[in-house]
Amino acid sequence: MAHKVVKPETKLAIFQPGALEPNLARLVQGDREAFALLVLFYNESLYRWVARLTGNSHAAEDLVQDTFVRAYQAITRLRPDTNLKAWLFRIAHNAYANWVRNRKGKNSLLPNDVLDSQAGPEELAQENETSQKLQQAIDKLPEEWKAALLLRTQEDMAFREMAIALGTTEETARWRVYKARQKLMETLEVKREDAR
Amino acid sequence: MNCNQIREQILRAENMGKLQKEVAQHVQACLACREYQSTVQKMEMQIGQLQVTEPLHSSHIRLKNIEGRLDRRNVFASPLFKFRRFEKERGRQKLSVAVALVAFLFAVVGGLMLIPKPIDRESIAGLRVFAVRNDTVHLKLMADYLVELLQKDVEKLISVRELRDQMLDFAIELGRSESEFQRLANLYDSSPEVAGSLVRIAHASKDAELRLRRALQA
Repeated sequence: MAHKVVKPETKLAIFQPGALEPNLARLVQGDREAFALLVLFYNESLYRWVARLTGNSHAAEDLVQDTFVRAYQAITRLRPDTNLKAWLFRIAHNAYANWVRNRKGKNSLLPNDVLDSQAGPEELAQENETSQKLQQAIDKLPEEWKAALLLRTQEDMAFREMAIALGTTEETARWRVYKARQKLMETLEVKREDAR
Repeated sequence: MNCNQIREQILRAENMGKLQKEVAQHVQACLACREYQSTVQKMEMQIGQLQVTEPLHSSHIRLKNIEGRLDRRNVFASPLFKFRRFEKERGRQKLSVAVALVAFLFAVVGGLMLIPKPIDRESIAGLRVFAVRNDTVHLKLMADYLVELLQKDVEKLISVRELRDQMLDFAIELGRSESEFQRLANLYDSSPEVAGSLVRIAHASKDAELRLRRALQA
């Protein structure tokens, strides 16, 4: 019996930018196979973004799962010109906003368990410390600024795409990134001076 | 542009590697600004490289879980369940309109705080009550009022030149209100009166934002 051989380059081709767009028509019809491809394609980047926002891996897992379920339920409303990535991140952002709203007033601080702080060799210690300081400074940013900055730095999103993902205007997206950068520069500068 | 202005442009840039010509020329000539740009760039790179713990589930397990949830929903999607969900969603939509209106009013009141002599605060408190009730007549009245209010108050704001940053923040807030009200108007396209009022509020916000920006540029 002959086995179907999947060449590595064929397998990798689905992870190239724009590879999902030809599947849009199938997605709109609720095709599960096309949807599975969408999940595999964006699972990691959505998790990374939401984990960084919530600071909690369990919450991030739940939110990413909710995002895909909601996406599937809304999939018939996709238009041919829909930016799939921005659309998915928008759903995730709405889920995250609900999560923040539900947690307000409950006074249940979850421990930040997403920072990967494995003990490394000595020369990595300083790098870890810098990462921790940076993470602490990011955590102190207002939610909207943080969400925008992480889309820019981790997902390399343009302001235009970011505006769709955050449900705002391009100019507001630019402003949020600007304020986040400004605040981080101020905070890190102060910490650097304190350390001297 | 001086160094402070250049640094602001650096912070506003979409891509640190592709700065505007004037900014890039300055950065090339000025050591302090070059260091600043390099620090920002390095910081962004570090943020991009921050590690997070591995997800608990692999993509394939996630896919199975999602499919499981989708299938479960289909099994239990009885007509009664759908009706209840519809009612709940409708309730949420109404609530979201009310919340958005109250938020907008707070933004307007926030803007009014900048004006040397605030006008008609009692009416604003009254409007907040109408917003919570969220009915067509009062929404229409509110639209009329806000259009007039924004016309007057933005003109007053323009005369307060020393509060430039706060005015810019207010202009951005107005821009956000515009997109939010447009979105809500789309949600209410089955009710032309409500949608019409929301669109008018959106236009008034945009108009006020543009006038404020023009004044700031001047």
